[in-house]
Amino acid sequence: MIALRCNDLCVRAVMERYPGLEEGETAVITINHPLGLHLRIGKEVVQVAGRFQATLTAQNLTRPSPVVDARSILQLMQLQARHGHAIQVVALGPDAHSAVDALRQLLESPALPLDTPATNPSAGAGDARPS
Amino acid sequence: MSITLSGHAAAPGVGIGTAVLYRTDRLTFEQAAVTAPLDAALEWERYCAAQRLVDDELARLAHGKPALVAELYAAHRAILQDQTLATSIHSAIDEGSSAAAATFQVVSDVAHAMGALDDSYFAGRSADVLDIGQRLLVHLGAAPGRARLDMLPADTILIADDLSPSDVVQLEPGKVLGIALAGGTPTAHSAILARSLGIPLVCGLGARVLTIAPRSPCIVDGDRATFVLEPDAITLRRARAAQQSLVEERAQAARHAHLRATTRDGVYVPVLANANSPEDVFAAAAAGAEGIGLLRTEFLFQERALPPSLDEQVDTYSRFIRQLREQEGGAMQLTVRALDAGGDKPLRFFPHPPEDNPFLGLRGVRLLLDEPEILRTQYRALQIAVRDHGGAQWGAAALEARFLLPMVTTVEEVRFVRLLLANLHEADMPRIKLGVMVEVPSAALITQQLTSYADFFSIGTNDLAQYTLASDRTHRQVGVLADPLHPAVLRLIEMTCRAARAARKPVTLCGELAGDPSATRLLLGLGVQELSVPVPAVALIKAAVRRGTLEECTLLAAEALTCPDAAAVRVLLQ
Repeated sequence: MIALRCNDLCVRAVMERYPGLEEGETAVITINHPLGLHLRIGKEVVQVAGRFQATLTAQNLTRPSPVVDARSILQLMQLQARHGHAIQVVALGPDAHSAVDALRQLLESPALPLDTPATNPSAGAGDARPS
Repeated sequence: MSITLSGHAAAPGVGIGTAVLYRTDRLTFEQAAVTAPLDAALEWERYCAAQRLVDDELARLAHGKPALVAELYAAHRAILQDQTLATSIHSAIDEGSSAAAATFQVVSDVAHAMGALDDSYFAGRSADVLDIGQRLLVHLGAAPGRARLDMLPADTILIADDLSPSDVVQLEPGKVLGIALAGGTPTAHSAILARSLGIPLVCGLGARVLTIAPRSPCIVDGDRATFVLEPDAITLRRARAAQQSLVEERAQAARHAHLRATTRDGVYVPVLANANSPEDVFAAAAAGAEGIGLLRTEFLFQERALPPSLDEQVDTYSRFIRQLREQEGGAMQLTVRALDAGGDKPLRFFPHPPEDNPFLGLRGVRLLLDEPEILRTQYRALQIAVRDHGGAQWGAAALEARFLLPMVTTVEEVRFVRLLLANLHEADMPRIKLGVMVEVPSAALITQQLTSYADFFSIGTNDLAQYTLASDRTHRQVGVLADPLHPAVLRLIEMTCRAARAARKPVTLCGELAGDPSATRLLLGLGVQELSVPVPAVALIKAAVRRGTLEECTLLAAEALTCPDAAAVRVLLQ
């Protein structure tokens, strides 16, 4: 029920901002990276969103958050999206469908390309955290 | 004329260089060079020029850095190019602000709003925004109010009131030759980091150290706990000699890092590594460690909404076991410490009410008994990983896996854990050795009773010192009391080792003290059989083991136990 209400709000916000847009796609995506939608993934989201014409907005359904522009890393941080949180993505524009697909692929993946330690042996050596 | 200040030794070594003062103040309006605004179009142009310069600067900084660091700079560039930021600054300029004043205002507002978010990770990103604001302001004519930690000159002795761990990770060991702090305590987390980076650090020097002129020559001596300002020729020569012998000692130690360490009378002492992350496990083998003596698993649980699944943990532990066994000679041991959370390190997915006294609250094994599924899942994951990857192969012996319980206080706790894990031992599942972390004085005092339920013991000196001497090691004033070399702590270590030895149960020491080469002989004399140390210390500790006979070590320990205080023990060790 809650998800439905958020969904309506989210779509309405976008429609108000971009009158005349018809083609749209809505999806709920679960964040699968252990660190959530953190700074590095935020950067990837901005890059992916920039490849499409569609306007892309997002809202966290798991905890209260504003509707934000997926092209702004500063706004994405306001989602405070952690691992397991559900994100409502609304795309409006001719390539809305593929834009949502691309975001889904990114956010549902449990790891970024650089997450494996083997690619990065020089970083993090040492007794970094306290016992 | 040289002036010597003394403080507390926090990271060993000698650094000779010139002073760079680092102030940790945030953006201030004074810094934002308030000039009368020119016309809006010109001010906007100035902003765009500054933005391009910062963008180039970030690209340059990322170049040649490890991939994860480079990624962080890339994220900073994304913030810099964020339309939200540019649009707000543009409208502030249109309303009559100068480029500098508009940048200052907008960046402060954005950082403030972000800092007010509930979630600590996202709130913490306000520091990233301020960092970018600072870079922009410098190009808009603001005085560079503070040294940039990632752009320090090559012979820096860094002087500050205090440094946060995130400050320390930015330092480049080849450029920062020493750190001198007015405040801080030897066991604070920044000191642990400095040690792992190999940067000498002396803290507790008092406010006087902050008044010295930038670029003055100075010496940080992390072995003698002194800071020398404007050293004379003799002092300088002596410091150079000490530095040189240290370099030789390190090189010598590194050459023998991959050989087993035995005392001069032939007692073999396994030297293992502490690991906080997958990167540490990877580095441990290369550094010559004979295994992981303490895998802190908090990194698997931190900063997430849900605990890691069984499969994810099986994956992680399997990867570690494979990685350890790939090294030459084959690492023999992996000790996984069960999640050590609670109190000051709360779990996001199991909210517990705030406590007045988190260090004395629901933490360590107490929390695990409150959330037994976490404990059982961790143990099961280790069982599966060991079954599938830990067996004898290619002529190599089987890996010894151990499971360690944090912050045990009573026998009852260990008995309960045994009961909780009892039905996980089906026929095809290995039985993992179960050990007790000795970091509360009660555990040291009842080691004999604990031997009935524990297969091994691991002494954590940081918490043991803290609980024995009733002082918070991060406290500005009383933190220095929590000294693991205090005879009271040494006596508890000795008692633990004696009781464990009588029951033929091995004792590892994994606290910070294990990584201090000057304490190695003392620890062996107290009865410690294995040492688990920070990865960069492995070679030096092995060298320290080879230096004496066990008999000498025992005599040294007996004398240390009669010392009145930690300072006297330090003198004895020199």
